[in-house]
Amino acid sequence: MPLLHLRGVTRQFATIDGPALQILKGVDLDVAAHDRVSIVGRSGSGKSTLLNILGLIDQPTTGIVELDGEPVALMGGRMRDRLRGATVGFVFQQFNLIEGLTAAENVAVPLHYGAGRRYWQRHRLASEMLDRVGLSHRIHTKATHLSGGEQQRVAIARALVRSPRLILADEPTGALDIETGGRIMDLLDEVAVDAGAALVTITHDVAVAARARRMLRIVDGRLEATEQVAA
Amino acid sequence: MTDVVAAIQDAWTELRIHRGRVLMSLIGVTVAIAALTASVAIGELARSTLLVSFESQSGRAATLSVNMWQDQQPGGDPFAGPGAPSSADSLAIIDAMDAAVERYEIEYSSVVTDAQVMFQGVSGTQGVGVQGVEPDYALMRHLSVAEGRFLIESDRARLAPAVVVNRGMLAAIGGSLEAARTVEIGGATAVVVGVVDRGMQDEWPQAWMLPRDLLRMPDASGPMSYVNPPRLEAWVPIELADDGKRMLNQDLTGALPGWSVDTQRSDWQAWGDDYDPLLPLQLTLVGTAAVILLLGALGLITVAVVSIRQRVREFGIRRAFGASRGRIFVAVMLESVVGTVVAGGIGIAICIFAYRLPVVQELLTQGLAGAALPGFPMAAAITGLLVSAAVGALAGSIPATIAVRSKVIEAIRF
Repeated sequence: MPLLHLRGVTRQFATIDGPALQILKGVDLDVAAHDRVSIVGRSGSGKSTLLNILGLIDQPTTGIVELDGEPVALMGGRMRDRLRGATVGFVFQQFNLIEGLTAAENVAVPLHYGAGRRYWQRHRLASEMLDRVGLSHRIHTKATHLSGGEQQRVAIARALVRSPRLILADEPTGALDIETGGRIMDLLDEVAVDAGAALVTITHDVAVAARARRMLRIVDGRLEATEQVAA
Repeated sequence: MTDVVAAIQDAWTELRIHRGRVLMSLIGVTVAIAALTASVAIGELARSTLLVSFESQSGRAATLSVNMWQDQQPGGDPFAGPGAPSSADSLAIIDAMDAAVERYEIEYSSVVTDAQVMFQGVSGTQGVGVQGVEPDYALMRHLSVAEGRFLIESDRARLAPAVVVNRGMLAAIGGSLEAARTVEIGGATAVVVGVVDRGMQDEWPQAWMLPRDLLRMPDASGPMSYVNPPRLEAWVPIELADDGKRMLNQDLTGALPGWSVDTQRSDWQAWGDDYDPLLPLQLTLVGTAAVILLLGALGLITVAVVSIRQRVREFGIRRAFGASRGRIFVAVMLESVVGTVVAGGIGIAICIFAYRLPVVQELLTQGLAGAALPGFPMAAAITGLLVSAAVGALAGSIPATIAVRSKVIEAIRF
C-alpha cells in the first residue's frame, strides 16, 4: 500500500468575474514509503496546488486522496491538522522561520502540536536535530541572524523533528546560490534517508529534480512521468 | 494538559518576542485598570470608612439600645423633667441590666452612663465628658486604643478607678501616659490606663471608665454634674434582634417598678435595607473608570488587529506543522489575556503602592482613627484582575478570529 495515493484529483478555483479556474485536471500519483519523487513545472502549472493537496493543506475539488489507505476527504479538519503535523514535514522556498525565535525554538515549533512526551522533551529534541544538520553552534541564535543556507538547514531540522514519513520540499533551493543549494539538497537527501521518510520535491530547477528516483512533470494540470533516474 | 501548557507557552513566547508592541499597547490597559481599581478601592474605602463612622456613632448591627426613664409620680409637676437619678437608683438599674444580660447570655453588651465632671489638668481645672462603659464597648463602637489598653474586667476590683482618656484629655493632663499615670477627676484619683485615638473627634477632652466607678465618684452626683440614667447597649445577631427587644423590655420593666423601659435598634442598618448613601458616588466612579477602560480596550484592539495582519505568515507556518484553527485562536486569545492580566496586575500594584503612601492614606481616610485604617480592599484588586482578563479575552477574540480565517498556503506566501 502506498503512503500517498491520488486518483483523478482535480482542483478548481472560483473567479469573481469569469469561469472557474481549472488548475489540476486529473492527477494520478502514488508515493511509496522511502520514495524520492521530484515534480517540475513552469510557474502557474499547478505545482504548489498539488503540494497543498499532498500536504493535506488543501482538499481536491474531485478525486481521491488516501493516506495509508485512509481517504482524507472523510476526515474532519482537526483530524487532518493532527495527521499533517504527525506525518508531513514541510521545507519551504523562503525558509519561513518565525522571526524573533531562536534556531532551537523554531525547530521546536512542530513539537508544540504533537504528543505530550515530545513537547516536554522539545529542547533536547530540537538541539539534537540542529546538531544533525550541523548547526549545534547556532542553537540560541535568532533566525534573522542566520545566513540563507543556515536558515534552510534550520527549516530542514524543523521539518524532521517530529519524524515525519513524508517530507514535502517546495523549491528548497529557490532562495539559495547554486553551491549552497547543492549542499542543502545533499543534506535533505541524507536526512530523509536516515529518517526513512519519503521525499517529494517540487522545483523548477531540473538539476535539483534530477536527484530524485522519479521525476514527474506537471503540464497543464496533468502529471506526466518524464524519465526514471537512478537514485 | 500538555495542550494547555503549550498554548500558554506559545502565548508567553509571542509576548516576549513582540514585547515592544505589547508594552505600547498595554500602557492604556494598565492605566485603565489602575483607574478602575482605584475607583472601586475609593468606593470600598469610602464605604468602609463610613461604615466604621456609622458604627462608632450608632453601634454595630444589630445593637439594641435600652433606655430608661422614671415614671411621673402622682401629684408631681407634669412639666418637670426627669432629673438625674440618684446613685442608688442608677446602681439598681445597672444590677437589673447585668442580670438581664446574664440571663439571656448576651455575648457583647455595655451599660452606658454619661456624666460631665471636672478634672485637674496641667493648666488648671476644666470640664470633661465621661462615659461609664463596660470593656465590650471598645469593640462595639470601634474605639481604637493608641497607647496602653481599654478597660478590662479586672478593673472592677481596683480601689482607684481606671480611666481611659482621649488625645485631647491626654494633652491636658501632661501629654503622655508616662507623664500622667493618675488624674484627679470628679473628686477622685483615677489611674490612666490607656489612650483612645478617634482622629479629629478627639480635639476636646473625653474619658471612659466603668459605670459603677463613675457613679461612685464624689462629684458625679453633685450640683455641678449631670448623670443620665444608665442605658444598656447589647450587640446581638441580627436575626435575634426582634426577640431580644421584646424580652429585654419585658424583663427590665418587671425588674424595675416605677421605671419605663424602651428598647430599640440603634444601629444604622435599622434605618432601612435599601439605604446606601455611597451608591451614587460609587456608580459615578465606576462609570468613569468604565469609559477609561473602554478607551484602553479600543486602543488594544486596534494595535492587535494591525499586528495580527503582520503575523499571517507565522500562523500559516504553525498550521502547516499541525496547529489546528482552534489552537491558533486560543493562542492569540491567550496572548491578549496574559498581556492584559499582567498589565492589570501592574495597574493594581500601582494602586496598592499609591494607597500606602501616607499622603494618599491621609486624603482617603480623613477622620478615621489611625489604628482602624482599613487595608487595601481586596474586592477592588480582584475586580481589577477579573476585568483585565475579560478585556483581554474580548480584545483578543477579534484578532484571533482574523488569525484563523487565513488559509494556510496563502498565509505562508503572505
